[in-house]
Amino acid sequence: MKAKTPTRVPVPFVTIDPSRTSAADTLIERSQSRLRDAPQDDAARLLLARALLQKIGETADPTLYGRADTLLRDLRECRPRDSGVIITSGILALSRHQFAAARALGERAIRLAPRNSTALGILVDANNELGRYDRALNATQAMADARPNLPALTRVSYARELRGDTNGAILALEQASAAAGSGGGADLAYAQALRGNLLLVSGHTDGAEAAFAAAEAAQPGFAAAVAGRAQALVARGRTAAAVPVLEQLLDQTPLAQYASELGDALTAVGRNAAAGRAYDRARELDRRELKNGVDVRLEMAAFDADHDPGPEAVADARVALAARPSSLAHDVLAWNLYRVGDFEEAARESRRALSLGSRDPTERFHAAAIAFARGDRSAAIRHLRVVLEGNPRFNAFLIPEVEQLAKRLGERVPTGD
Amino acid sequence: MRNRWTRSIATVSAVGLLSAVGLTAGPAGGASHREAPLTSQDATADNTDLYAFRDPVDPTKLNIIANYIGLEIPQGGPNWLKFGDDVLYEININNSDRVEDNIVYSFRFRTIVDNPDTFLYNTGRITQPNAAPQNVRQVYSVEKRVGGHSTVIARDLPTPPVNIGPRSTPNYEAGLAAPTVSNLPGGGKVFAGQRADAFFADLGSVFDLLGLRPLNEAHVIPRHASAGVDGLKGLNVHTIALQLPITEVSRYHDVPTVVDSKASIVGIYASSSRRAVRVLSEESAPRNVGRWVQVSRLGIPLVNEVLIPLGKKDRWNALNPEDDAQFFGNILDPEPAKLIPALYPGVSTPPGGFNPDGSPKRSDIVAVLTGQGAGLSAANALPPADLLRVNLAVAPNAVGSRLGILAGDTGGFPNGRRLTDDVVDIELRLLAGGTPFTPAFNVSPNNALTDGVDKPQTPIMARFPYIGTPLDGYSHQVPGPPAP
Repeated sequence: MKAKTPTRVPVPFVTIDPSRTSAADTLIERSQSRLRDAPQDDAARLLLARALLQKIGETADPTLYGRADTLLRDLRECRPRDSGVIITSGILALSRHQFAAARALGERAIRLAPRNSTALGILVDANNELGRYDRALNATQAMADARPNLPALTRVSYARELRGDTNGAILALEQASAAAGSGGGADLAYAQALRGNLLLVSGHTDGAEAAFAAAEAAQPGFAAAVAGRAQALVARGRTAAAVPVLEQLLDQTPLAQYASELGDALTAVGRNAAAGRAYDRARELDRRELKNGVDVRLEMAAFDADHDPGPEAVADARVALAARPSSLAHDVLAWNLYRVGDFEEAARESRRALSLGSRDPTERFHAAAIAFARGDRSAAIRHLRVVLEGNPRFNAFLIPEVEQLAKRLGERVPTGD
Repeated sequence: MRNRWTRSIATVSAVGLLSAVGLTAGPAGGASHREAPLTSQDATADNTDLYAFRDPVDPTKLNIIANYIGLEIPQGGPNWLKFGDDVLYEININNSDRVEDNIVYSFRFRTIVDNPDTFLYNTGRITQPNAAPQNVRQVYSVEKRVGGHSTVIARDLPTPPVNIGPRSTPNYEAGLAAPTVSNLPGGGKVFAGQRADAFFADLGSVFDLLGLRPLNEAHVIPRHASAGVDGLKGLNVHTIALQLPITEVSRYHDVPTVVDSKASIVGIYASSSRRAVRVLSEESAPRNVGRWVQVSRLGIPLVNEVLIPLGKKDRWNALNPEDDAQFFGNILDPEPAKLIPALYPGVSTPPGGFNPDGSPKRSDIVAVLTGQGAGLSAANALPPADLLRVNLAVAPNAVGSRLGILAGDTGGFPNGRRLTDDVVDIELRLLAGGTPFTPAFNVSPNNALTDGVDKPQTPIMARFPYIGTPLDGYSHQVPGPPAP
């Protein structure tokens, strides 16, 4: 591939620790060594951008986003009709939670490369996160028709999960695991960890633990599987045992979500000072993501509903919802409204969150609490039963609230183990 | 807890930039830790190579070897690679004047696990195939479809274990692999199992700006010339091999004798398919019995890998050769032919594209696509398609030249393909115009291009399935990341 313009942005070389030999490191080294000889080689520039995204996946280090973005902006200038460039740009936008941009790039990619399953995947993900569920569904079917393999099947699973078909979602992940093959590595680990999460929230703790173990066997240390293993311990009432698992996970994969989950587990076992430190770490990690162009405003608003509730958090949730009007965002706004006592608007937002029929325990518990606050006992019981029939200990921080609501509604909470 | 986040969002698995082989690596975890992979290496269903040649021992037979699951490292335990139980593998044969599937052999695999409570592949020394103490094993069925009529011609056929090492799998070839060659009704034979990859190519140089090591000094970024390095060395594949009586596949059920006759040619491609999935359906309805969706196919070597642009690969892989015309723009104006002059100053290659009358300028590539490379005259040319075309009237030539037709040896590529045919060198020269089809360009270095790798890593065996014994994991450990 030849460069079309004489002036190009300089390659943002990164230094790779020679003792590291991850797949991403190898790719970074390979593309950079080519670029030292031929700095204008577009194929090598694209490879480097992809390798950087992969490296972020391995290390959760968001400071590399800027370098990938620099490379891709320049490539889009020079090769605006190269589907590989547009697709990789779409992947970067998704990773930074810039879903409107991702959607636009996905549509450009699919025009350049009709039926390309990766371009379709970008459209699926962006439309889901933007709350455009019919379009996401159509793109999911098109993706499955183009290539019914693991990436498509994980999205089939999500389409079913969103609509409350948990068994269908689990089945799709079983097919995805089969399609990953025995050498599936991180892809297989991903499908198994997801399957574990669905089994866990539907009350099948043994099956969930087996799935997390299969994920860790496929890819040792796979973060989502370790996190799942911790949540299974919480579900079994062994929250204290989950703490060291989450501490080690956070150490290896510093993501705000894991800091928050650690804080929740510490809260549940009464270690409030340590929990406070974990929550501070979550805030710090979220700010670091924001600083690197990752739009985590919705994630922060959700965190605030439980840990810093108030009118400011409500306002933040409204802004996040405007940028990303998904059912999740409606739920986050609903829960923030509940925390400040605005139960009527909370109920409206909660209904929107559940309009597709999701059985997500967080959204159902929120709906139950809001309904109870408005005096609608039957709706509260209906939503709460979804949680109690599955995993009532789905969130270590909320366990006391779940138990209290159940008691007030006269519902029995199954014991953890 | 916040593990609802970005349930759907994508992450990168490094996508090969130029090819399904080569620039690929293990997929990543995910930036927000729950991001779904967008691209996945579907190795289980990935066609890597296809060979077809008349049998050198019994010329009334045709051998077809289809390889899947590339780049297998020999020490890949404990989850050894195997055929997919959820994949339909097919070998498709075209013996008529139009491009269509006239005869199709389908292969379905079934994994048997004796003791599901252990991760172990074997619990002791394996001395016979498909039996204890091999805990995880596969059997398969073969179905033959002619016209619209399907018949299961064999079922529960054994496969050998993977070649683990001298303790687990001693006497591999004679004791474990050879006994799994099964007879088919009508006189054919079939084999399915792990083998040593017979493809040979300097992948590292081809994908590093086509920096052919023996020609390093002529490259736009010069280096000292050096010998080629086989990028497939030390790696295994999974093979499905068929040996069929020629009378079973030829148009008139005979052994053809007239070379320049359309009826003497069979066109072959291998493919694999996965089940279609309905995203939403009634909860009670079975959801894993959809129609088959083709996800990979391979005919002429390297057409799919090198000539079909990445953005079009999904579409290409889903279609059959009868629909290939829509890709002729890419195939007949090949990107590598345009790249060569930029990378090797002073070298010019034939122009691609089409003449004003609509005829393709690259008549040499057309020759390969139409059976003229397999012995047909222009008057008898078949419709162009990505089919590996074998002329059943040309006598087999087991010890022919690695350069096949370029060395005047009509027994090899592009008349079918033998395991020893150097398709990389032949195609490099073809793309550069260095063949008798384009005399003006049939000069040095166009007709001397080479990656410097000339033969498969292991010798070809004297009998079916011909492709060499898989490298065992104990003796042939490949350095690199641990097996998944």
